[in-house]
Amino acid sequence: MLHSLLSRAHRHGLVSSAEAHCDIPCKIYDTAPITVAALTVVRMIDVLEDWRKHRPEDDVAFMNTVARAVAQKEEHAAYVKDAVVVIWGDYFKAPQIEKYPQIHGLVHDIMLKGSAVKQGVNRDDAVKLVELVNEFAEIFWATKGVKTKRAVCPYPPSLEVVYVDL
Amino acid sequence: MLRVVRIAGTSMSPTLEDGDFVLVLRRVALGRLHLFGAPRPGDVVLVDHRSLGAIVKRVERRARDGRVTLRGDHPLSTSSAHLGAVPLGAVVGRAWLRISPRARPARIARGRPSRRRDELVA
Repeated sequence: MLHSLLSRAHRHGLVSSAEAHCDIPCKIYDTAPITVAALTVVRMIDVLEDWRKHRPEDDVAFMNTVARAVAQKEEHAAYVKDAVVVIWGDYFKAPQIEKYPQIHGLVHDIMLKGSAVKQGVNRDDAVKLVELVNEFAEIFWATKGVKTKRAVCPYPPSLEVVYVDL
Repeated sequence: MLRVVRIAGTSMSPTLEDGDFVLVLRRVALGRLHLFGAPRPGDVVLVDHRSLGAIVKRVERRARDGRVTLRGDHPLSTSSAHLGAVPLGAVVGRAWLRISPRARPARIARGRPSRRRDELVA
């Protein structure tokens, strides 16, 4: 009775709402896909450079392959930015930030470098993005007390990346 | 003195369910000195949160500087680490009466605030 009266008042905008929302803390966070995406950006720039040197006769086929490589570069750079923001925003809380206050600056650097590799084809920018992701991965795993090691990935572009050392 | 709000969401379940109404007794204070309705640990309160807007949560504890830590009753509620400690001034008042479509209006009991295990690391 009272509830239906108030429901009517609410529908007429006379009673406001108070949020009691949930977030789902799924706890599945891993930096490995981010590393792979950053490596892909470097690889796509290498592929583009390779095609510049061995440009095929067929212009349309050439443009097609270039467009596909650029699209992949764009997509993987966007993924790096999105996935880093999710871990930084959802996982990092006051205790982790107090221990690693440099995380904000590092995430911001990744955002800038992530945009730079979308805008251009500078390999140094892409290699730097991989290194920034490495630093992010090391801090992330350190907050969980998980050991990491650095090793050269066993596939092109053969750059040093961070692996969990379980 | 009184305010009525409608609950949206399930973070206070089972104490309050989505669609319930609550009567809020406004806090009356001169600065930190309360004449009425000082929020105590375990109270369900309406808070004017800086980034989240009007929210209803349970008081976990009150720090010496007056700041209030909040939590939801449901295990999937946004953790108190995420909500942050809110200044006392953000606490509008205590949720006093629950008006549910399924039951008679009932007083909202002061609960036992307990720390959740996953609060420090999500």
